[in-house]
Amino acid sequence: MKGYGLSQRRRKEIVSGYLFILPLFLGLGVFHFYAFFNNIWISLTDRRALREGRFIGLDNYVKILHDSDFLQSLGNTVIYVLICVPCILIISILLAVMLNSRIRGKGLFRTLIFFPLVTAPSAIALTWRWLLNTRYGIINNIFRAFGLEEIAWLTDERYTLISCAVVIIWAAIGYQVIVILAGLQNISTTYYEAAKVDGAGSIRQFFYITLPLLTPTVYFVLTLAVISMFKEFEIVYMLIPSTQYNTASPAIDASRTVVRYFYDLTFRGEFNEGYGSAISVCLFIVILIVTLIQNRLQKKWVFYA
Amino acid sequence: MKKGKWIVYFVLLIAVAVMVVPFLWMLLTSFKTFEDATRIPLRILPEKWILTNYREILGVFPVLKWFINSFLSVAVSIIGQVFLGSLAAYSFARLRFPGKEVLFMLCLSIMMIPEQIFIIPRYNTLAAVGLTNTRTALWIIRLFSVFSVFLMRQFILSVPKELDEAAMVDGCGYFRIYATIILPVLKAPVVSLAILSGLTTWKDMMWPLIVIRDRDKMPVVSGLSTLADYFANRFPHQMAGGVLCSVPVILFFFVLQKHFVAGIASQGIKE
Repeated sequence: MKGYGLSQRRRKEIVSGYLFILPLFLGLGVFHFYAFFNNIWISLTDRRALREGRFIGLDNYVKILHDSDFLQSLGNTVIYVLICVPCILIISILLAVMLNSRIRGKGLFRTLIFFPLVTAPSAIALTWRWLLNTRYGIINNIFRAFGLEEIAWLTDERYTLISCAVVIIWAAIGYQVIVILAGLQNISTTYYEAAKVDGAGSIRQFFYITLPLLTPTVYFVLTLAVISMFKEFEIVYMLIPSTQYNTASPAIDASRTVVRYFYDLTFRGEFNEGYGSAISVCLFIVILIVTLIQNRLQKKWVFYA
Repeated sequence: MKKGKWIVYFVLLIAVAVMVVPFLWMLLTSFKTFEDATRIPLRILPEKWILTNYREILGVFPVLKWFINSFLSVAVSIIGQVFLGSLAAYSFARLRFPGKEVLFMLCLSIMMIPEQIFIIPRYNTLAAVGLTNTRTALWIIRLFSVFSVFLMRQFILSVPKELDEAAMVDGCGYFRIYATIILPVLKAPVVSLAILSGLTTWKDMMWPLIVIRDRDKMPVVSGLSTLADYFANRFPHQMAGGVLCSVPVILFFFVLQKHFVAGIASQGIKE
Protein backbone atom coordinates (compact mmCIF):
# COMPACT_ATOMS: atom_id res chain seq x y z
CA MET A 1 0.00 0.00 0.00
CA LYS A 2 1.40 3.35 -0.98
CA GLY A 3 -0.64 5.31 1.52
CA TYR A 4 -1.33 8.26 -0.77
CA GLY A 5 -0.01 10.59 1.88
CA LEU A 6 -2.43 9.32 4.48
CA SER A 7 -1.06 9.35 7.95
CA GLN A 8 -0.95 6.08 9.79
CA ARG A 9 -3.62 7.32 12.15
CA ARG A 10 -5.96 8.23 9.32
CA ARG A 11 -5.44 4.86 7.69
CA LYS A 12 -6.31 3.20 10.98
CA GLU A 13 -9.50 5.21 11.16
CA ILE A 14 -10.56 4.13 7.69
CA VAL A 15 -9.77 0.47 8.33
CA SER A 16 -11.64 0.53 11.65
CA GLY A 17 -14.56 2.27 10.02
CA TYR A 18 -14.98 -0.56 7.53
CA LEU A 19 -14.23 -3.30 10.05
CA PHE A 20 -16.90 -2.07 12.46
CA ILE A 21 -19.66 -2.11 9.89
CA LEU A 22 -18.49 -5.38 8.39
CA PRO A 23 -20.33 -7.83 10.71
CA LEU A 24 -23.60 -5.98 10.17
CA PHE A 25 -23.13 -5.72 6.44
CA LEU A 26 -22.33 -9.42 6.12
CA GLY A 27 -25.75 -10.21 7.56
CA LEU A 28 -27.52 -7.43 5.67
CA GLY A 29 -25.80 -8.69 2.55
CA VAL A 30 -27.31 -12.15 2.87
CA PHE A 31 -30.71 -11.46 4.42
CA HIS A 32 -31.50 -8.07 2.91
CA PHE A 33 -29.50 -7.00 -0.16
CA TYR A 34 -29.09 -10.43 -1.73
CA ALA A 35 -32.60 -11.41 -0.66
CA PHE A 36 -34.05 -8.27 -2.24
CA PHE A 37 -32.45 -8.78 -5.64
CA ASN A 38 -32.91 -12.53 -5.52
CA ASN A 39 -36.60 -11.94 -4.85
CA ILE A 40 -36.85 -9.69 -7.89
CA TRP A 41 -35.10 -12.37 -9.96
CA ILE A 42 -37.45 -15.10 -8.68
CA SER A 43 -40.41 -12.89 -9.58
CA LEU A 44 -39.25 -13.09 -13.21
CA THR A 45 -39.30 -16.91 -13.20
CA ASP A 46 -41.89 -19.64 -12.80
CA ARG A 47 -40.14 -21.18 -9.82
CA ARG A 48 -42.37 -23.45 -7.74
CA ALA A 49 -41.88 -25.37 -4.50
CA LEU A 50 -38.09 -24.93 -4.38
CA ARG A 51 -37.60 -26.23 -7.93
CA GLU A 52 -35.53 -23.94 -10.16
CA GLY A 53 -37.69 -21.95 -12.51
CA ARG A 54 -37.34 -20.69 -16.05
CA PHE A 55 -37.02 -17.03 -16.87
CA ILE A 56 -40.43 -15.84 -18.03
CA GLY A 57 -39.95 -12.09 -18.12
CA LEU A 58 -42.79 -10.01 -16.76
CA ASP A 59 -45.43 -12.75 -17.10
CA ASN A 60 -46.06 -12.91 -13.35
CA TYR A 61 -46.66 -9.18 -13.20
CA VAL A 62 -49.01 -9.29 -16.15
CA LYS A 63 -50.88 -12.12 -14.46
CA ILE A 64 -51.12 -10.11 -11.22
CA LEU A 65 -52.80 -7.22 -12.99
CA HIS A 66 -55.50 -9.62 -14.15
CA ASP A 67 -55.73 -11.63 -10.94
CA SER A 68 -59.08 -10.73 -9.44
CA ASP A 69 -58.16 -12.32 -6.08
CA PHE A 70 -55.06 -10.16 -5.84
CA LEU A 71 -56.93 -7.04 -6.84
CA GLN A 72 -59.59 -7.83 -4.26
CA SER A 73 -56.95 -8.26 -1.56
CA LEU A 74 -55.42 -4.93 -2.55
CA GLY A 75 -58.85 -3.31 -2.44
CA ASN A 76 -59.51 -4.87 0.96
CA THR A 77 -56.21 -3.52 2.24
CA VAL A 78 -57.13 -0.03 1.11
CA ILE A 79 -60.51 -0.37 2.84
CA TYR A 80 -58.71 -1.48 6.02
CA VAL A 81 -56.57 1.65 5.83
CA LEU A 82 -59.62 3.86 5.28
CA ILE A 83 -61.61 2.30 8.15
CA CYS A 84 -58.94 1.48 10.70
CA VAL A 85 -56.54 4.40 10.48
CA PRO A 86 -59.07 7.19 11.20
CA CYS A 87 -60.65 5.13 13.98
CA ILE A 88 -57.29 4.35 15.54
CA LEU A 89 -56.26 8.01 15.36
CA ILE A 90 -59.46 9.43 16.82
CA ILE A 91 -59.82 6.87 19.59
CA SER A 92 -56.15 7.05 20.58
CA ILE A 93 -56.06 10.84 20.64
CA LEU A 94 -59.24 10.92 22.72
CA LEU A 95 -57.97 8.35 25.19
CA ALA A 96 -54.49 9.89 25.37
CA VAL A 97 -55.88 13.35 26.13
CA MET A 98 -58.09 11.89 28.85
CA LEU A 99 -55.26 9.84 30.32
CA ASN A 100 -53.15 12.97 30.36
CA SER A 101 -55.71 15.02 32.31
CA ARG A 102 -55.78 15.27 36.06
CA ILE A 103 -57.78 12.30 37.22
CA ARG A 104 -57.54 9.68 39.92
CA GLY A 105 -56.38 6.17 39.17
CA LYS A 106 -54.49 7.26 36.06
CA GLY A 107 -51.89 4.52 36.45
CA LEU A 108 -54.48 1.77 36.65
CA PHE A 109 -56.44 3.13 33.67
CA ARG A 110 -53.25 3.26 31.64
CA THR A 111 -52.15 -0.27 32.51
CA LEU A 112 -55.54 -1.71 31.64
CA ILE A 113 -55.69 0.11 28.31
CA PHE A 114 -52.09 -0.67 27.34
CA PHE A 115 -51.75 -4.33 28.20
CA PRO A 116 -53.15 -5.91 25.01
CA LEU A 117 -50.12 -4.56 23.16
CA VAL A 118 -47.93 -7.37 24.50
CA THR A 119 -50.46 -10.09 23.83
CA ALA A 120 -49.69 -12.54 21.05
CA PRO A 121 -51.79 -11.62 18.00
CA SER A 122 -52.88 -15.24 17.69
CA ALA A 123 -54.27 -15.11 21.24
CA ILE A 124 -56.11 -11.87 20.45
CA ALA A 125 -57.62 -13.28 17.28
CA LEU A 126 -58.56 -16.53 18.99
CA THR A 127 -60.35 -14.69 21.77
CA TRP A 128 -62.28 -12.58 19.31
CA ARG A 129 -63.13 -15.63 17.24
CA TRP A 130 -64.91 -16.89 20.31
CA LEU A 131 -66.57 -13.56 21.12
CA LEU A 132 -67.81 -13.27 17.53
CA ASN A 133 -68.95 -16.89 17.19
CA THR A 134 -72.32 -16.88 15.46
CA ARG A 135 -74.19 -19.20 17.80
CA TYR A 136 -72.34 -19.10 21.11
CA GLY A 137 -70.44 -15.83 20.93
CA ILE A 138 -71.12 -13.25 23.62
CA ILE A 139 -71.78 -10.53 21.05
CA ASN A 140 -74.54 -12.34 19.20
CA ASN A 141 -76.01 -13.40 22.52
CA ILE A 142 -76.28 -9.76 23.48
CA PHE A 143 -77.81 -9.03 20.07
CA ARG A 144 -80.36 -11.75 20.65
CA ALA A 145 -81.16 -10.47 24.11
CA PHE A 146 -82.12 -7.15 22.52
CA GLY A 147 -84.25 -8.94 19.96
CA LEU A 148 -81.79 -8.33 17.10
CA GLU A 149 -80.93 -10.97 14.56
CA GLU A 150 -77.67 -12.80 14.94
CA ILE A 151 -74.94 -11.99 12.45
CA ALA A 152 -72.42 -14.49 11.08
CA TRP A 153 -69.48 -12.18 11.76
CA LEU A 154 -66.79 -14.59 10.65
CA THR A 155 -68.46 -16.60 7.91
CA ASP A 156 -70.78 -14.20 6.11
CA GLU A 157 -68.67 -12.44 3.48
CA ARG A 158 -70.56 -9.20 3.99
CA TYR A 159 -69.24 -8.93 7.55
CA THR A 160 -65.81 -10.57 7.64
CA LEU A 161 -63.89 -7.45 6.69
CA ILE A 162 -65.61 -5.26 9.24
CA SER A 163 -65.08 -7.89 11.96
CA CYS A 164 -61.37 -8.02 11.18
CA ALA A 165 -61.21 -4.22 11.12
CA VAL A 166 -62.73 -3.98 14.59
CA VAL A 167 -60.23 -6.43 16.04
CA ILE A 168 -57.31 -4.72 14.27
CA ILE A 169 -58.37 -1.39 15.75
CA TRP A 170 -58.80 -2.96 19.18
CA ALA A 171 -55.32 -4.48 19.02
CA ALA A 172 -53.64 -1.27 17.80
CA ILE A 173 -55.05 1.21 20.33
CA GLY A 174 -52.77 0.56 23.31
CA TYR A 175 -49.56 1.10 21.38
CA GLN A 176 -50.71 4.28 19.68
CA VAL A 177 -52.07 5.81 22.89
CA ILE A 178 -48.57 5.52 24.34
CA VAL A 179 -46.99 7.30 21.37
CA ILE A 180 -49.58 10.09 21.49
CA LEU A 181 -49.27 10.45 25.26
CA ALA A 182 -45.56 11.04 24.79
CA GLY A 183 -46.35 13.72 22.21
CA LEU A 184 -48.81 15.38 24.60
CA GLN A 185 -46.28 15.44 27.40
CA ASN A 186 -43.87 17.16 25.05
CA ILE A 187 -46.17 20.18 24.72
CA SER A 188 -45.00 22.95 26.99
CA THR A 189 -47.45 23.88 29.75
CA THR A 190 -46.83 27.59 29.17
CA TYR A 191 -49.23 27.50 26.20
CA TYR A 192 -52.02 26.29 28.44
CA GLU A 193 -51.24 28.80 31.14
CA ALA A 194 -51.43 31.59 28.59
CA ALA A 195 -54.71 30.21 27.28
CA LYS A 196 -56.14 30.07 30.79
CA VAL A 197 -55.24 33.70 31.33
CA ASP A 198 -57.10 34.49 28.12
CA GLY A 199 -60.06 32.54 29.45
CA ALA A 200 -60.10 29.68 26.93
CA GLY A 201 -62.06 26.59 28.04
CA SER A 202 -60.73 23.06 27.81
CA ILE A 203 -62.50 22.28 24.52
CA ARG A 204 -61.04 25.38 22.88
CA GLN A 205 -57.64 24.62 24.36
CA PHE A 206 -57.81 21.20 22.74
CA PHE A 207 -58.58 22.53 19.26
CA TYR A 208 -56.36 25.61 19.33
CA ILE A 209 -53.34 24.38 21.29
CA THR A 210 -53.23 20.63 21.74
CA LEU A 211 -54.20 19.55 18.25
CA PRO A 212 -51.92 21.90 16.25
CA LEU A 213 -48.93 21.17 18.48
CA LEU A 214 -49.68 17.47 18.32
CA THR A 215 -49.63 17.30 14.51
CA PRO A 216 -46.02 15.98 14.29
CA THR A 217 -46.97 13.08 16.57
CA VAL A 218 -50.23 12.54 14.72
CA TYR A 219 -48.29 12.41 11.48
CA PHE A 220 -45.94 9.84 12.94
CA VAL A 221 -48.81 7.69 14.23
CA LEU A 222 -50.57 8.04 10.89
CA THR A 223 -47.52 6.80 8.99
CA LEU A 224 -47.03 3.95 11.44
CA ALA A 225 -50.69 2.92 11.27
CA VAL A 226 -50.93 3.10 7.47
CA ILE A 227 -47.79 1.01 6.95
CA SER A 228 -48.83 -1.55 9.55
CA MET A 229 -52.22 -1.85 7.84
CA PHE A 230 -50.48 -2.68 4.57
CA LYS A 231 -48.56 -5.40 6.38
CA GLU A 232 -51.54 -6.76 8.32
CA PHE A 233 -51.54 -10.53 8.43
CA GLU A 234 -51.85 -12.22 11.81
CA ILE A 235 -55.29 -11.09 12.88
CA VAL A 236 -56.92 -11.55 9.50
CA TYR A 237 -55.29 -14.95 9.12
CA MET A 238 -56.32 -16.19 12.56
CA LEU A 239 -59.78 -14.67 12.68
CA ILE A 240 -60.98 -16.09 9.35
CA PRO A 241 -58.92 -19.29 9.22
CA SER A 242 -58.37 -21.38 6.16
CA THR A 243 -58.41 -25.16 6.26
CA GLN A 244 -55.41 -27.21 5.33
CA TYR A 245 -56.33 -27.65 1.68
CA ASN A 246 -58.69 -24.79 1.18
CA THR A 247 -57.24 -21.31 1.29
CA ALA A 248 -60.15 -19.63 -0.43
CA SER A 249 -63.77 -19.12 0.51
CA PRO A 250 -66.03 -16.11 0.10
CA ALA A 251 -65.46 -15.25 3.76
CA ILE A 252 -61.67 -15.35 3.34
CA ASP A 253 -61.61 -13.56 0.00
CA ALA A 254 -63.70 -10.70 1.37
CA SER A 255 -61.33 -10.03 4.26
CA ARG A 256 -57.93 -11.04 2.89
CA THR A 257 -55.09 -8.53 2.86
CA VAL A 258 -52.29 -8.48 0.30
CA VAL A 259 -49.86 -10.02 2.78
CA ARG A 260 -52.24 -12.84 3.57
CA TYR A 261 -52.73 -13.46 -0.13
CA PHE A 262 -48.96 -13.60 -0.50
CA TYR A 263 -48.76 -16.13 2.33
CA ASP A 264 -51.70 -18.29 1.23
CA LEU A 265 -50.42 -18.51 -2.30
CA THR A 266 -46.74 -19.03 -1.57
CA PHE A 267 -46.74 -21.18 1.53
CA ARG A 268 -50.09 -22.94 1.70
CA GLY A 269 -51.52 -23.44 -1.75
CA GLU A 270 -49.43 -24.13 -4.79
CA PHE A 271 -46.06 -22.99 -3.40
CA ASN A 272 -45.80 -20.76 -6.42
CA GLU A 273 -42.67 -18.83 -5.47
CA GLY A 274 -42.31 -16.90 -8.70
CA TYR A 275 -45.80 -15.49 -8.44
CA GLY A 276 -45.52 -14.95 -4.68
CA SER A 277 -42.36 -12.91 -4.99
CA ALA A 278 -43.96 -10.82 -7.71
CA ILE A 279 -46.79 -10.07 -5.26
CA SER A 280 -44.27 -8.99 -2.62
CA VAL A 281 -42.63 -6.64 -5.13
CA CYS A 282 -46.04 -5.13 -5.91
CA LEU A 283 -46.63 -4.66 -2.18
CA PHE A 284 -43.31 -2.85 -1.95
CA ILE A 285 -44.24 -0.54 -4.83
CA VAL A 286 -47.63 0.24 -3.29
CA ILE A 287 -46.06 1.05 0.09
CA LEU A 288 -43.46 3.22 -1.62
CA ILE A 289 -46.14 5.22 -3.44
CA VAL A 290 -48.21 5.64 -0.28
CA THR A 291 -45.16 6.83 1.67
CA LEU A 292 -44.28 9.36 -1.02
CA ILE A 293 -47.83 10.73 -1.03
CA GLN A 294 -47.81 10.99 2.75
CA ASN A 295 -44.53 12.88 2.66
CA ARG A 296 -45.97 15.31 0.13
CA LEU A 297 -49.15 15.93 2.09
CA GLN A 298 -47.28 16.26 5.33
CA LYS A 299 -46.10 19.77 4.46
CA LYS A 300 -49.70 20.91 4.15
CA TRP A 301 -50.89 20.16 7.65
CA VAL A 302 -48.06 19.23 10.01
CA PHE A 303 -47.13 22.13 12.22
CA TYR A 304 -43.61 22.22 13.60
CA ALA A 305 -43.45 24.67 16.48
CA MET B 1 -65.53 21.39 35.23
CA LYS B 2 -66.93 18.74 37.56
CA LYS B 3 -69.25 17.55 34.82
CA GLY B 4 -66.33 17.28 32.38
CA LYS B 5 -64.42 15.04 34.76
CA TRP B 6 -67.40 12.77 35.10
CA ILE B 7 -67.44 12.26 31.33
CA VAL B 8 -63.71 11.49 31.34
CA TYR B 9 -64.16 8.77 33.96
CA PHE B 10 -67.12 7.37 32.09
CA VAL B 11 -65.27 7.13 28.75
CA LEU B 12 -62.17 5.65 30.35
CA LEU B 13 -64.21 3.04 32.19
CA ILE B 14 -65.83 2.01 28.92
CA ALA B 15 -62.40 1.81 27.27
CA VAL B 16 -61.08 -0.35 30.09
CA ALA B 17 -64.12 -2.61 29.87
CA VAL B 18 -63.66 -3.02 26.12
CA MET B 19 -60.02 -3.99 26.68
CA VAL B 20 -60.50 -6.25 29.68
CA VAL B 21 -63.78 -8.06 29.02
CA PRO B 22 -62.44 -10.17 26.10
CA PHE B 23 -59.68 -11.46 28.38
CA LEU B 24 -62.03 -12.15 31.26
CA TRP B 25 -64.34 -14.00 28.93
CA MET B 26 -61.42 -16.06 27.61
CA LEU B 27 -60.39 -16.83 31.19
CA LEU B 28 -63.90 -17.85 32.28
CA THR B 29 -64.48 -19.98 29.18
CA SER B 30 -61.20 -21.81 29.70
CA PHE B 31 -62.57 -23.28 32.95
CA LYS B 32 -65.83 -24.49 31.42
CA THR B 33 -66.77 -27.77 29.82
CA PHE B 34 -67.82 -27.60 26.18
CA GLU B 35 -71.48 -28.06 27.14
CA ASP B 36 -71.21 -25.35 29.77
CA ALA B 37 -69.55 -22.90 27.35
CA THR B 38 -72.13 -23.43 24.62
CA ARG B 39 -75.22 -23.13 26.80
CA ILE B 40 -77.88 -20.74 25.59
CA PRO B 41 -78.74 -18.43 27.21
CA LEU B 42 -75.18 -17.78 28.33
CA ARG B 43 -74.05 -18.30 31.87
CA ILE B 44 -71.23 -16.05 32.89
CA LEU B 45 -69.53 -18.16 35.54
CA PRO B 46 -68.60 -21.80 34.96
CA GLU B 47 -71.07 -24.24 36.43
CA LYS B 48 -68.13 -26.17 37.77
CA TRP B 49 -64.58 -24.84 37.55
CA ILE B 50 -62.54 -27.49 35.75
CA LEU B 51 -58.89 -27.77 34.79
CA THR B 52 -59.21 -30.62 32.29
CA ASN B 53 -58.88 -28.27 29.29
CA TYR B 54 -55.50 -27.12 30.55
CA ARG B 55 -54.41 -30.63 31.37
CA GLU B 56 -55.35 -31.92 27.93
CA ILE B 57 -53.55 -29.07 26.18
CA LEU B 58 -50.38 -29.55 28.15
CA GLY B 59 -50.55 -33.26 27.38
CA VAL B 60 -50.47 -32.59 23.63
CA PHE B 61 -48.60 -29.30 23.22
CA PRO B 62 -45.24 -28.29 24.74
CA VAL B 63 -46.37 -24.81 25.79
CA LEU B 64 -43.44 -24.30 28.16
CA LYS B 65 -41.04 -25.10 25.33
CA TRP B 66 -42.80 -22.53 23.16
CA PHE B 67 -42.07 -19.91 25.77
CA ILE B 68 -38.45 -20.98 25.98
CA ASN B 69 -38.18 -20.80 22.17
CA SER B 70 -39.81 -17.38 22.06
CA PHE B 71 -37.66 -16.12 24.89
CA LEU B 72 -34.47 -17.39 23.29
CA SER B 73 -35.21 -15.90 19.89
CA VAL B 74 -36.16 -12.56 21.45
CA ALA B 75 -33.09 -12.50 23.70
CA VAL B 76 -30.58 -13.60 21.08
CA SER B 77 -31.89 -11.19 18.47
CA ILE B 78 -31.80 -8.28 20.91
CA ILE B 79 -28.24 -9.05 21.98
CA GLY B 80 -27.14 -9.40 18.38
CA GLN B 81 -28.80 -6.16 17.36
CA VAL B 82 -27.30 -4.27 20.28
CA PHE B 83 -23.73 -5.33 19.54
CA LEU B 84 -23.70 -5.42 15.75
CA GLY B 85 -25.87 -2.31 15.61
CA SER B 86 -23.90 -0.22 18.08
CA LEU B 87 -20.57 -1.12 16.52
CA ALA B 88 -21.82 -0.02 13.11
CA ALA B 89 -23.56 3.00 14.63
CA TYR B 90 -20.31 4.11 16.26
CA SER B 91 -18.52 3.77 12.95
CA PHE B 92 -21.19 5.77 11.10
CA ALA B 93 -21.40 8.45 13.79
CA ARG B 94 -17.71 9.02 14.54
CA LEU B 95 -15.30 7.56 12.02
CA ARG B 96 -14.58 9.02 8.60
CA PHE B 97 -14.09 6.65 5.69
CA PRO B 98 -14.79 6.79 1.98
CA GLY B 99 -18.28 5.75 0.92
CA LYS B 100 -19.74 6.22 4.39
CA GLU B 101 -22.71 8.33 3.27
CA VAL B 102 -23.61 5.89 0.50
CA LEU B 103 -23.42 2.90 2.83
CA PHE B 104 -25.56 4.66 5.41
CA MET B 105 -28.16 5.63 2.83
CA LEU B 106 -28.19 1.99 1.74
CA CYS B 107 -29.02 1.04 5.33
CA LEU B 108 -31.79 3.61 5.57
CA SER B 109 -33.34 2.50 2.31
CA ILE B 110 -33.84 -1.01 3.75
CA MET B 111 -36.20 0.41 6.36
CA MET B 112 -38.66 1.28 3.60
CA ILE B 113 -38.94 -2.29 2.33
CA PRO B 114 -41.70 -4.58 3.60
CA GLU B 115 -40.31 -7.75 5.09
CA GLN B 116 -42.37 -10.01 2.79
CA ILE B 117 -39.99 -9.19 -0.02
CA PHE B 118 -37.15 -10.99 1.77
CA ILE B 119 -39.05 -14.03 2.94
CA ILE B 120 -38.83 -16.40 -0.04
CA PRO B 121 -35.08 -15.90 -0.63
CA ARG B 122 -34.40 -16.13 3.11
CA TYR B 123 -36.28 -19.39 3.27
CA ASN B 124 -34.32 -20.74 0.30
CA THR B 125 -31.00 -19.61 1.78
CA LEU B 126 -31.73 -21.29 5.11
CA ALA B 127 -32.99 -24.41 3.33
CA ALA B 128 -29.74 -24.56 1.36
CA VAL B 129 -27.69 -24.72 4.56
CA GLY B 130 -30.14 -27.00 6.36
CA LEU B 131 -31.36 -24.43 8.88
CA THR B 132 -35.08 -24.60 8.18
CA ASN B 133 -37.11 -26.16 10.96
CA THR B 134 -34.48 -25.21 13.54
CA ARG B 135 -34.70 -22.73 16.38
CA THR B 136 -31.72 -20.92 14.85
CA ALA B 137 -33.91 -19.93 11.91
CA LEU B 138 -36.12 -17.96 14.29
CA TRP B 139 -33.43 -15.50 15.34
CA ILE B 140 -30.73 -15.56 12.71
CA ILE B 141 -32.65 -13.34 10.31
CA ARG B 142 -33.24 -10.80 13.08
CA LEU B 143 -29.66 -10.26 14.20
CA PHE B 144 -29.00 -7.61 11.59
CA SER B 145 -31.21 -4.63 12.15
CA VAL B 146 -30.89 -1.37 10.32
CA PHE B 147 -33.29 0.21 12.75
CA SER B 148 -30.87 -0.50 15.60
CA VAL B 149 -28.07 1.29 13.72
CA PHE B 150 -30.28 4.28 13.06
CA LEU B 151 -31.50 4.51 16.66
CA MET B 152 -28.05 4.24 18.23
CA ARG B 153 -26.33 6.47 15.70
CA GLN B 154 -28.79 9.25 16.57
CA PHE B 155 -27.89 8.80 20.20
CA ILE B 156 -24.12 8.64 19.71
CA LEU B 157 -24.26 11.89 17.73
CA SER B 158 -25.61 13.57 20.87
CA VAL B 159 -22.74 12.27 23.04
CA PRO B 160 -20.05 14.95 23.40
CA LYS B 161 -17.06 14.24 21.19
CA GLU B 162 -14.56 15.49 23.76
CA LEU B 163 -14.85 12.19 25.59
CA ASP B 164 -13.50 10.08 22.75
CA GLU B 165 -10.98 12.72 21.78
CA ALA B 166 -9.52 12.67 25.27
CA ALA B 167 -9.32 8.90 25.13
CA MET B 168 -7.64 9.13 21.74
CA VAL B 169 -4.97 11.40 23.18
CA ASP B 170 -4.38 8.75 25.84
CA GLY B 171 -3.63 6.36 23.00
CA CYS B 172 -6.85 4.32 22.99
CA GLY B 173 -7.70 2.52 19.77
CA TYR B 174 -11.09 2.92 18.14
CA PHE B 175 -12.40 -0.36 19.45
CA ARG B 176 -11.32 0.53 22.98
CA ILE B 177 -13.18 3.83 22.66
CA TYR B 178 -16.28 2.03 21.44
CA ALA B 179 -16.15 -0.57 24.19
CA THR B 180 -15.23 1.67 27.12
CA ILE B 181 -16.82 5.02 26.28
CA ILE B 182 -19.63 4.63 23.76
CA LEU B 183 -21.18 1.28 24.68
CA PRO B 184 -21.65 2.09 28.39
CA VAL B 185 -23.64 5.28 27.68
CA LEU B 186 -26.03 3.60 25.26
CA LYS B 187 -28.39 2.43 27.98
CA ALA B 188 -31.40 4.51 26.92
CA PRO B 189 -31.43 3.52 23.22
CA VAL B 190 -30.67 -0.08 24.16
CA VAL B 191 -33.77 -0.24 26.36
CA SER B 192 -35.87 1.27 23.56
CA LEU B 193 -34.40 -1.14 21.07
CA ALA B 194 -34.95 -4.12 23.35
CA ILE B 195 -38.61 -3.21 23.80
CA LEU B 196 -39.37 -2.37 20.18
CA SER B 197 -37.46 -5.15 18.50
CA GLY B 198 -38.41 -7.62 21.22
CA LEU B 199 -42.08 -6.88 20.57
CA THR B 200 -41.58 -7.36 16.83
CA THR B 201 -39.85 -10.71 17.23
CA TRP B 202 -42.29 -11.92 19.86
CA LYS B 203 -45.38 -11.02 17.83
CA ASP B 204 -44.19 -12.15 14.42
CA MET B 205 -46.24 -15.09 13.21
CA MET B 206 -45.57 -15.45 9.51
CA TRP B 207 -41.89 -16.36 9.65
CA PRO B 208 -42.28 -19.06 12.35
CA LEU B 209 -45.28 -20.50 10.49
CA ILE B 210 -43.17 -20.78 7.36
CA VAL B 211 -39.90 -21.97 8.75
CA ILE B 212 -40.83 -24.26 11.68
CA ARG B 213 -42.62 -27.58 11.26
CA ASP B 214 -42.00 -29.42 14.53
CA ARG B 215 -44.27 -28.54 17.42
CA ASP B 216 -41.51 -28.41 20.00
CA LYS B 217 -39.45 -25.92 18.01
CA MET B 218 -42.22 -23.35 17.61
CA PRO B 219 -42.44 -20.03 19.39
CA VAL B 220 -45.61 -19.13 21.28
CA VAL B 221 -47.40 -17.22 18.55
CA SER B 222 -47.31 -19.85 15.83
CA GLY B 223 -47.63 -22.64 18.40
CA LEU B 224 -50.96 -21.23 19.53
CA SER B 225 -52.03 -21.06 15.91
CA THR B 226 -51.44 -24.81 15.50
CA LEU B 227 -53.15 -25.45 18.80
CA ALA B 228 -56.22 -23.60 17.55
CA ASP B 229 -56.28 -25.77 14.42
CA TYR B 230 -55.88 -28.94 16.47
CA PHE B 231 -58.72 -28.07 18.84
CA ALA B 232 -60.93 -26.69 16.07
CA ASN B 233 -64.35 -25.73 17.47
CA ARG B 234 -63.47 -26.94 20.95
CA PHE B 235 -63.77 -23.45 22.32
CA PRO B 236 -62.84 -24.01 25.98
CA HIS B 237 -59.62 -25.74 24.89
CA GLN B 238 -58.79 -22.90 22.55
CA MET B 239 -59.41 -20.37 25.30
CA ALA B 240 -57.25 -22.30 27.74
CA GLY B 241 -54.50 -22.20 25.11
CA GLY B 242 -55.03 -18.47 24.76
CA VAL B 243 -54.74 -18.01 28.53
CA LEU B 244 -51.55 -20.05 28.75
CA CYS B 245 -49.98 -18.09 25.91
CA SER B 246 -50.99 -14.60 27.00
CA VAL B 247 -51.10 -14.45 30.79
CA PRO B 248 -47.32 -14.80 31.34
CA VAL B 249 -46.51 -11.91 29.00
CA ILE B 250 -49.26 -9.75 30.43
CA LEU B 251 -47.78 -10.27 33.91
CA PHE B 252 -44.37 -9.48 32.45
CA PHE B 253 -45.81 -6.26 31.05
CA PHE B 254 -47.34 -5.29 34.41
CA VAL B 255 -43.92 -5.61 36.05
CA LEU B 256 -41.95 -3.77 33.35
CA GLN B 257 -44.64 -1.36 32.19
CA LYS B 258 -42.48 1.70 32.75
CA HIS B 259 -39.84 0.43 30.34
CA PHE B 260 -42.37 -0.60 27.74
CA VAL B 261 -43.98 2.82 27.81
CA ALA B 262 -40.63 4.63 27.69
CA GLY B 263 -39.41 2.44 24.85
CA ILE B 264 -42.50 2.86 22.70
CA ALA B 265 -42.76 6.57 23.50
CA SER B 266 -39.15 7.23 22.51
CA GLN B 267 -39.75 6.59 18.83
CA GLY B 268 -42.52 9.16 18.48
CA ILE B 269 -40.56 12.10 19.85
CA LYS B 270 -38.72 14.16 17.29
CA GLU B 271 -36.16 16.64 18.35
